[in-house]
Amino acid sequence: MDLTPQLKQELKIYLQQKLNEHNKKVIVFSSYPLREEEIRLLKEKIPQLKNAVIENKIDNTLIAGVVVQFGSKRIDLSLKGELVNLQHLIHEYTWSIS
Amino acid sequence: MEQLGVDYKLIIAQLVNFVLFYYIFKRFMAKPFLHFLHEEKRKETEKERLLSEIKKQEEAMGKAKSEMLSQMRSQIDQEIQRAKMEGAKIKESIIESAKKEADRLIAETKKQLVEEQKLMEREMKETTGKLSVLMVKKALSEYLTEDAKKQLTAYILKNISNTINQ
Repeated sequence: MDLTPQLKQELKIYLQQKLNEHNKKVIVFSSYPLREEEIRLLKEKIPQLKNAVIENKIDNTLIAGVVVQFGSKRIDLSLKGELVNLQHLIHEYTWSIS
Repeated sequence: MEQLGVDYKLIIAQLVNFVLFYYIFKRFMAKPFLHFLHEEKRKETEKERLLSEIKKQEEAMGKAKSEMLSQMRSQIDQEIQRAKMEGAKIKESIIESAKKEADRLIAETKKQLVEEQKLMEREMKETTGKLSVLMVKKALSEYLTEDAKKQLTAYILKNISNTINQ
């Protein structure tokens, strides 16, 4: 498809805007609806979330804790994440000793 | 003498007869006859000589034949002995190489078994780990009340900076 330079530029700007919006948007996964207090604490502890728009989604598989996703970054503070880490540790340990 | 039955004329005639016979025989028959007898004797001697020669030759041939036979027998025995030894050597070497091959196979199989055992152990440990984590997950999901979950989440949120720094 042959694009004119102008169209290319506009497309670039549009995509950049979308990306910025996506980066600004923060999704917090939790096993129950978070209270305002908890969201405030979250913003306090993670500086990147200060001016962000936080969307809280429910995910029962987390058991407890939260998972914060902004842009391509993901901070896993859930119990499920810890158990997965434990599983990986066990796997590494098993293969390292044998 | 006539009274005894002796006839002088007859006796004289017989004497003359005898002398005549003797003279004729000696002159005309004795030589050829003797020659014939000598000839026969000579032939007889010749025959005997030939016979003895033939016998000697036969004996010599028999001896040579038996010597050859005994030589051949001893050669055959030697060859058989040599072949037996060769066969025994070959048999030993075959057994030796078969033993080595069997030992090698046994060692390889043992090594393989050990490797498989290790792999099985590893997989078992990993499966045990996975199952344990799964069981803990299930137990926590079912055991933790909503309040407990909230308390846990609040605790995690309070200690966020420590968690992220780790």
